[in-house]
Amino acid sequence: MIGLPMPPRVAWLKGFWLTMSCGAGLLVGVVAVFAVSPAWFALGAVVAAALAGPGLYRPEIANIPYRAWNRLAVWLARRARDWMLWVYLKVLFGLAGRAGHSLGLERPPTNESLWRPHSASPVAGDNCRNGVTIEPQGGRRWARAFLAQARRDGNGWMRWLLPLVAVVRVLDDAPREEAPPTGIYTLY
Amino acid sequence: MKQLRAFLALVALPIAVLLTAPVLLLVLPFWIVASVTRAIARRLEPQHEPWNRLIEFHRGLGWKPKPNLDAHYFARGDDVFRLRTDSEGWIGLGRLEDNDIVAMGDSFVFGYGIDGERAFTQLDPRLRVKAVGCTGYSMVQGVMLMREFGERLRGKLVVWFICIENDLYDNLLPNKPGFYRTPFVRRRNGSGDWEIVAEHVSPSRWDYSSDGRPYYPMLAKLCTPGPLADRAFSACDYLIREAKQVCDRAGATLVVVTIPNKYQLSPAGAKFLRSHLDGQDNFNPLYPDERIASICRAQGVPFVAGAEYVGANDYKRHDTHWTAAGHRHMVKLLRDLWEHHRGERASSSSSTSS
Repeated sequence: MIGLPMPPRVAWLKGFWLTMSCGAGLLVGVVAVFAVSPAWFALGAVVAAALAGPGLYRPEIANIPYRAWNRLAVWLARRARDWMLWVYLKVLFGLAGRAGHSLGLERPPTNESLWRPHSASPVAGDNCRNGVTIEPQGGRRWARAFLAQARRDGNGWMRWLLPLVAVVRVLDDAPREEAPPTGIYTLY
Repeated sequence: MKQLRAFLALVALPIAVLLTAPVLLLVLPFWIVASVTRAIARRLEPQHEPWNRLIEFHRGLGWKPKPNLDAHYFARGDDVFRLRTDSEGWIGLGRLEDNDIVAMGDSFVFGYGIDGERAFTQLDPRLRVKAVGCTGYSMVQGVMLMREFGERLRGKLVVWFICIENDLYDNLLPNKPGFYRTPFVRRRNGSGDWEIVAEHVSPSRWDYSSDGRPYYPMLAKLCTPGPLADRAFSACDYLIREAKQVCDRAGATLVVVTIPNKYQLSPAGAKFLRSHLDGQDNFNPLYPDERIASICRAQGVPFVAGAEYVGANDYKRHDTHWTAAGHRHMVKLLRDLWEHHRGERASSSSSTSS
C-alpha cells in the first residue's frame, strides 16, 4: 500500500505531482520560517502552486518521477517487510515460544503411532486436530477476522500482534497492478 | 502456559517495536505520499461505468454500444476514457447521413483506449467521418451492418478496417471469450462457398467459452501459408465480396484497410510470433496483407495496408491498441483516402459531362 498503481493513470500522475508539489512547498515554507521569519511560510504556498501548474497541465511530465518513486517505494517496502518479519520471528515468536507449545512434536515412544482420531468437538488451540485453517481475509474486515480466529483458537495473546500485522499489510502488495473492477469489458 | 505466553508476548512487543521503528520512520513518507496521491486521484478520476452499462444486446450483431451515451470506461491496464455515442449508438455525435466517410471495424474504429474526441475518426474536423464499430466486432458484423445501412451508404466512402490480429480468426467462431455469442461464417454444406450464421445469437451466455483465446499462436499461423490460413482467407474473401456487392448496390465506394498487430511491425515482434510455430520457415509477418491485397485486387476493391501508416511505436506498451500518436498517423490515412476519392469522383464526373 505504499506503492502506486502501474502503469500510471492520468489522475494518479496528477495526484502524485500535486502531492510532491505540496510536499516541496511545505519543505520550503518550513525552511523559510527558520531561516528568515514566520511570515515567509507563504513562500511555500507560492512554490507549491508554481510547481503544481506544469504537472496539472501536462501530467505526462510526472511519468518518470512517478515510476522512479514507485520503484524506490516497492524496493523499500520489500526490504522493510523482510526486516520486520525477521524481527517478529526471532524476537516475538522466539520469546513467546519459550512458554512451550501444544503441538505434539516430540518423538513418540517406540511403536506408538502419531495418527490421532478426528475429533467431532473442536478443541481450543489445536488447529491440527480440528483441521482448522485460517481463511485469507481481504478488505477492511481482516482485523476482525484475525482477532476472531485468535479468540476461537484460544490464542488471546495474538491480539498483541495486531498492530504488527497491520504494518506488514501496509508494506504488502506494493508492486501489483490494479485489477479491473468486476464487470469491466476485457475483449479487444 | 497461556498466561505465560501472553506475558512473554507483551514483553517482546516493545522490543520488536523498537527494532522496527527506524524502518517504519523510513517508510512513513512513502506511505503518506501514496495515501495522499490515492485520495487526490480518486477525486480527479471520472466515475467509470462497467461495460455492461455501455453495451446492449443486438439481435444479429450480438452487441452494440448503447445510444446517447456520454460516459467513461476503464480500459484494462490503461486508463479511464470518455465515450460518446449518437442516437443509434455509434461513436461521435453526427448522424450517418451527415458524413462523407464511414469507418467500419472493431475496437480500433470504436476508439478503445483513447478519449472519443482524440480518436482518429474524430481528430480532423475537416473530415466528416462516422465511426461504426464496437469492441470485439469481426468482419462478419461489418458486412451485416453494411447490409443494414444499405441505401444510407449512397455516395459515401466506406473505409473498412480489418484487424489482422483477431478478425480473421473470429470470423470463423460462434463466440467471443467472455461468453458472448457472435455471428460467424461457415461453409455451406456441399459447396465451397460461405454463409453468415446468426441464428444462435441471443442475450444468453455462450457456455462453451473461455476467458481468453490463443490470438498470438493463431496470428503466427495466419502469417504462414497453410490450411488454417487458407480457410481464414477464404472466409475473408467471401466477406469482402459481400461488402463490395452491398456498397456497389448502394453506390458507395469500399476501401479495405488492414490494421497490423504491433508484433508484425518489428523484427523482435516477428521473432515472438514465430516462436509460436514449430520451426516453419515460410513465416512472413506481412503474409496477411499480401493475401488480403490479392483478394481485393481480384474484386476491384482498393486496398491499403495500415502498416504503411503506423509503426510498432504507435501501439501501447501494455495493450494491443494505438497510442495518441498512432491515431494521429491514421488520420493521415483517412485524409489520403478522402483526397484520392474526391479526385476520382471529380475526374469521373468531368468525363461523364464531357
